[in-house]
Amino acid sequence: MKAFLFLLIRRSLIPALLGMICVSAIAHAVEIPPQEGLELARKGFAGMTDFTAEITQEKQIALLKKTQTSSGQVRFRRPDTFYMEVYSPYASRLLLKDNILNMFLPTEGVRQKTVLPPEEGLRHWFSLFDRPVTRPPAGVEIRADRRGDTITLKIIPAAKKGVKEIRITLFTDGRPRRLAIEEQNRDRTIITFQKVRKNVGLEEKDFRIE
Amino acid sequence: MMKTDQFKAKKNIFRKRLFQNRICESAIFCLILFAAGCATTPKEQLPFRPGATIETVAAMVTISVKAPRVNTGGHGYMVYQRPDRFHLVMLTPFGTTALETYSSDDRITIVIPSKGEAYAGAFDEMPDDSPLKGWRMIRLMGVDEPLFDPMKKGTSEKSSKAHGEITSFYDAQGLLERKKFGGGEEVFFRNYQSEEGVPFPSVIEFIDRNGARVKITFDEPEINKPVDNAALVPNLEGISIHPLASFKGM
Repeated sequence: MKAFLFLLIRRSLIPALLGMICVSAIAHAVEIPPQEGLELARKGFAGMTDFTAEITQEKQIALLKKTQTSSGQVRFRRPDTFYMEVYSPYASRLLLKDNILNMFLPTEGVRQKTVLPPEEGLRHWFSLFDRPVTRPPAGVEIRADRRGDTITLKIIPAAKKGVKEIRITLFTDGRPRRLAIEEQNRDRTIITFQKVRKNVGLEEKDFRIE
Repeated sequence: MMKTDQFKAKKNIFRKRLFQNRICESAIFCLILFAAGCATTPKEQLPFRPGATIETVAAMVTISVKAPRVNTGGHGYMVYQRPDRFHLVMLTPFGTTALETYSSDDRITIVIPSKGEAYAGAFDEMPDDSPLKGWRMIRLMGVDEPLFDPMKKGTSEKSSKAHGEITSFYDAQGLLERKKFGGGEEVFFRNYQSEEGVPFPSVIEFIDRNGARVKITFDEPEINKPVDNAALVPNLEGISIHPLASFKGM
């Protein structure tokens, strides 16, 4: 029995404790100036032509006091193509090519195309990464911190509209790690990126929603 | 001889450790299975209670709207209170709020939080070319009679000021399957499930006389639980309000 308990401890508790120690050792975040945070993110992203990742999306619904968790995958290719698929039970596929948004709900057979204003297109946003950041963008307050090899940018829009706060965590090589969006209606969405692979050579055929 | 004994002793220790390892792994495996089993225990389905009515609903929803020139839809959530108040939230694929709709009586308010805009007016003011035109039918979801009555089989007819002649179709069990309104609209109630004895159709489909279809699929519904009144009233603080007639979509 003693040996059994010893083994149980050795196999489950010790690794968990070691993990906790490691996490607490790297958990010390240092606040850095927003420009520095943005510049670090920009530099990391500069070396990336594309990436793929598996995602877990957690939607906390304040009104229903409920959390809905889904999983899926994302793909991105510079300069302006983004694909996201969320698996069943709330299956959806989204393809954003610059400012043209295509959405497909496979279960319902719904196809939807939306043309966003050019200033909301991916090309516009990612062109901001082409030159060094000298000052934070207007209309938002930005806070940044660095924790080991990750940078967290907290973006607070000045206008009190839909989104209250966006918190994005990236590795210094540009790979996304976590995205948290808090809304004025107290809803919260957390997207966690796993198995992120960059510069895998994604092609046009990898960005089809049907 | 000595070497053979030592070998046997080592072999026994090895076997003992292997056995302990197996037990340990099995224990962890059983714990995982137990946890998984707890998470997937199906909810008890009580028999339908005759005359039980739906007073409130809070649920995740999937909506599809199909009309000759419209093909749209999405996932979201909804809070409904009998007879005709609802708050519907449609989400973007990222999980953020795309659009909120509040309805009470014959009034509807559509809020687009990201733009800080709202459109309010009577359902009939919804422009004909609006992609949400079909949503007008959602007010028909309010059912003023029980969805299950074993005495009602076949059809029953009645008339109301708001909807004119209404024909209700019941199945062999006495579950309401379909309602046909004088104006040509139809509502279908499908995939009934028992929520603590209250019959609840997990799919409701509306069809208007022009062929526009609105299908709502409910997931994880909570039936007849208290609903906070604030959940059914739009908070329009800091939002610019426009007439519903000017709503052209997102």
